[in-house]
Amino acid sequence: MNRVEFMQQLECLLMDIPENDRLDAIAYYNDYFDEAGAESEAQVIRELGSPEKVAAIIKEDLNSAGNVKAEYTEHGYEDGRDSININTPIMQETVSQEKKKKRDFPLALIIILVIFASPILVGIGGGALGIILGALGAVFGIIVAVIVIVFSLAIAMLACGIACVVAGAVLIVVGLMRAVISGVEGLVLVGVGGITFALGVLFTILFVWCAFKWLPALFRWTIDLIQRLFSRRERRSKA
Amino acid sequence: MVFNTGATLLDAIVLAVVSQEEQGTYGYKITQDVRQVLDVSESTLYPVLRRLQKDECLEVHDMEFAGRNRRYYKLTEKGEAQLQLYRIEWKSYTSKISRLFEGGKRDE
Repeated sequence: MNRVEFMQQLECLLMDIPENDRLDAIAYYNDYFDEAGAESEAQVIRELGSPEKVAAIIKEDLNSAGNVKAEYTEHGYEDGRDSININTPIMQETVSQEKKKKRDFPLALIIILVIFASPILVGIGGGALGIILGALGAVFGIIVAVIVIVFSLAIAMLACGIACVVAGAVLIVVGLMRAVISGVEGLVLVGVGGITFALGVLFTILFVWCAFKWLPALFRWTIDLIQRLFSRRERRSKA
Repeated sequence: MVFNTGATLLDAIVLAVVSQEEQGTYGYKITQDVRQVLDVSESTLYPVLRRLQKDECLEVHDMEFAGRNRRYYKLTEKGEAQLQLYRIEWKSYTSKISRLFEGGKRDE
């Protein structure tokens, strides 16, 4: 490859960059060959490498220059494409400020997270409280339900007992009246009435038994349970 | 060389080389001067010169030489200020590194 070929290829490869950049580069390398002299032409081509390499370096620089504008600021020369960091006291200060900013960031992040998570945290707390209250409510509810069921069963038994006693008594009376008119039918009614009366007496006895044996036991058990619950909590809070 | 030469250091070296010539200097000579102290490819210096020119640290003027045109590079005022800043920063940087390398001799 000679100089003319080299320059032609380079120009082709630089067709996609702005015209003034291309012309400047072509002029520079033409000058460069001129200065080196015809006798050094081969050496210059070897040193430059390939036209592709030269073009790539030019384009790379154009791209980075477009993105990062070099500036002469109060912190010194800043261009953002440096690989060697020259540390002046001013630059160190800048670096430490940047570090501080970086350190502040997680704290800010945590605060934001807490703010955003607060509904969830409140929700979780509320949920836990709700579960505890719910559990307590359920326990009380069960206790109340048991008491109510026992009461109602007892009252039902009493009602049944009274009803059966009354019904039995009525049946016996009606049966006796019927027995006068048509014997067998009346006797059956008297028998049924007797059984009903006996059942009523049994229910009544059951109620009385319940009322005097089960209910006090139930009350004692409930009070015991509540006392145990509260005393446990007191022990826990003391510990 | 085992140490990397970053873009800023290359800028500083090029500015220093150009500043040595009162009347300005041209691309080929700049390259040869830089290559005497630094092992850089001939193709790396053109973008540096172009960038320094765009940043107004270097100005160019064309002058006739041996029957053809030669492009001369010269430092601008901004280029001078920039080079001065690089000199100060380089001194501070290298003295710290040297002190460290030479084993804690803190009194100079």
